[in-house]
Amino acid sequence: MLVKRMDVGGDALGDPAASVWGTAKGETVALMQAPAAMQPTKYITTKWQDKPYGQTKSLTVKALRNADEIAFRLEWQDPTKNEQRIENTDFPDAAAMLFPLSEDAPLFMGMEGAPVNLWYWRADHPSRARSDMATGIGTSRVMDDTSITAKAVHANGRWTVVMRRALRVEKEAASAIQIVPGQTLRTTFAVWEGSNLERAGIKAFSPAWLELQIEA
Amino acid sequence: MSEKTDIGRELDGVLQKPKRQLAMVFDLNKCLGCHTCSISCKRQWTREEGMDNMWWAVVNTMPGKGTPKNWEGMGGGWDEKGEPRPSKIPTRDEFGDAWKFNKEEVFHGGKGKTVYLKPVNTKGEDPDWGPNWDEDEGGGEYPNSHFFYLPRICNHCTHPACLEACPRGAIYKRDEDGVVLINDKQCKGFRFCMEACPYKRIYYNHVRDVTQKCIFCFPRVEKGVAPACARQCPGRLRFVGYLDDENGPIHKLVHKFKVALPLHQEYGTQPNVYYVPPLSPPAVDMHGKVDPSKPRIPTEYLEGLFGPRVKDVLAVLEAEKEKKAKGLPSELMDTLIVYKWPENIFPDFVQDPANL
Repeated sequence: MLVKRMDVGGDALGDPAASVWGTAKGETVALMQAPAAMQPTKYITTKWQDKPYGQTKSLTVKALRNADEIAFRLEWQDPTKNEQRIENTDFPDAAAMLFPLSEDAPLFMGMEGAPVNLWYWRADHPSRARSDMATGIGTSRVMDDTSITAKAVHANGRWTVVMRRALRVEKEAASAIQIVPGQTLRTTFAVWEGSNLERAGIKAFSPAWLELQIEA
Repeated sequence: MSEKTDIGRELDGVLQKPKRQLAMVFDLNKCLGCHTCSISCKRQWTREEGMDNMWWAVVNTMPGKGTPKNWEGMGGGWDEKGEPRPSKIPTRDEFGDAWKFNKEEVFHGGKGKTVYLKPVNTKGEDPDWGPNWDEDEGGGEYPNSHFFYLPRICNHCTHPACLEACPRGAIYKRDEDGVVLINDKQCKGFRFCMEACPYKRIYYNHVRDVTQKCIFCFPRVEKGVAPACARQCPGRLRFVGYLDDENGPIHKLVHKFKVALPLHQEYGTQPNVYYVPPLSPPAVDMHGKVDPSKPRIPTEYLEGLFGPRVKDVLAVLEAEKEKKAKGLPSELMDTLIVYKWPENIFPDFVQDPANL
């Protein structure tokens, strides 16, 4: 997928309803249930192996960059808006993108020596996304200095979420993806359905890399 | 069988065997149901924002539905094959939530003589459960109605279901004393631990998005001070010590005299809190005639809580009580009586916190 350069202000890039998104060509990414057998603990495998989860079938992604920033606009179907976290059984809707930080990082959350960077948005904090790093299933760590802003809209049974960040980041350099114009990147996606108590590895995920060509 | 995960934890049934194990014994024959333990814990540990609904130490009236409501029917822990038993996350309402009172109105609104204090829960509704909602109701029919108190904390299990359920590796059992702790920097509030714990002694902090529970007062213990619930207990029923200390009361009550039993051993988590089961007066009929063959609290009920050894334990307690009454020596009764406080009840933790 081509990430076109559009020289508009960051606020336009960051707005899911901005007209500039009409110029971006979207890609539909197929999602599947993250396998119960791959859950990091036996309790989770046992509890979920016969229960439906990760039923979000696909999401549509668009991406644009300007001189300094990149923005990803994710859109997926979700008839129930789950955004609070008060009752013990409240789990907010969420979505994430995963970027390999080394050539051979597996798309299953990376591995030792081959970390991945996660951009994680959750509906209880609608205007920011978290930057995590992981080196395998069950290892993701929140990096302190997050710089990903977000804007989310839930309408007509769909979430539309834009995550936006500077192309190059200094402070989190070791734990976050650096985005260089002209480069080709890979990414993959996950979606959590809060009404089904989905969290951690109980999710829908994209089992293939999506290539992103960052327009020079 | 076990497998090493990439988080570096042994999973799937391997026991967490620490070098030493701290344990408690609660002598239920001494519990007054005064909740001083719950309050001392609350004052010490659960006063921060997001902790208002937390009671790491509770006292339940038995028979009763407990905290959270009907926790014994929620699953969790391990089945007889050692497989995890699926469970549910208890809700705030089932725990009893945190109540807010109209104190402003009653104390400062000039209506003190016409308006009374009235609690509402987080949803603004009349509460219909609380940490010990069915206090003193108990079970049985007149004239054999009965109840006793059951203090409950995290059991700091040897086979902790919470630890094994956590996908983050955020729960660990300390090697030096077997205390089970949640690392709240690693916890992401996924709440699988709340599901997997069959005793339902873990709470969710919705402000910080982490789970929290009894820490066996480890900062006190490290300084030789007994946990707050034990030190403050006016009934002096909470013994604290290491299971392997042959001169300590824990080892004597659990291993030497074998009168302290774990609660719901069948949940498979190997709890390290033990209970001396309650004796009861004999049953009577409607004319007041005593039937010495039948205890007021049905033994089957106690067996349901503490397992098949209850009958033997009650017999030993009766026999030793008898001996003591006749002026004969009984090391077991002397241990339970606690002549010298604090050294007889938590010998390794006699330090007075006021002197630190």
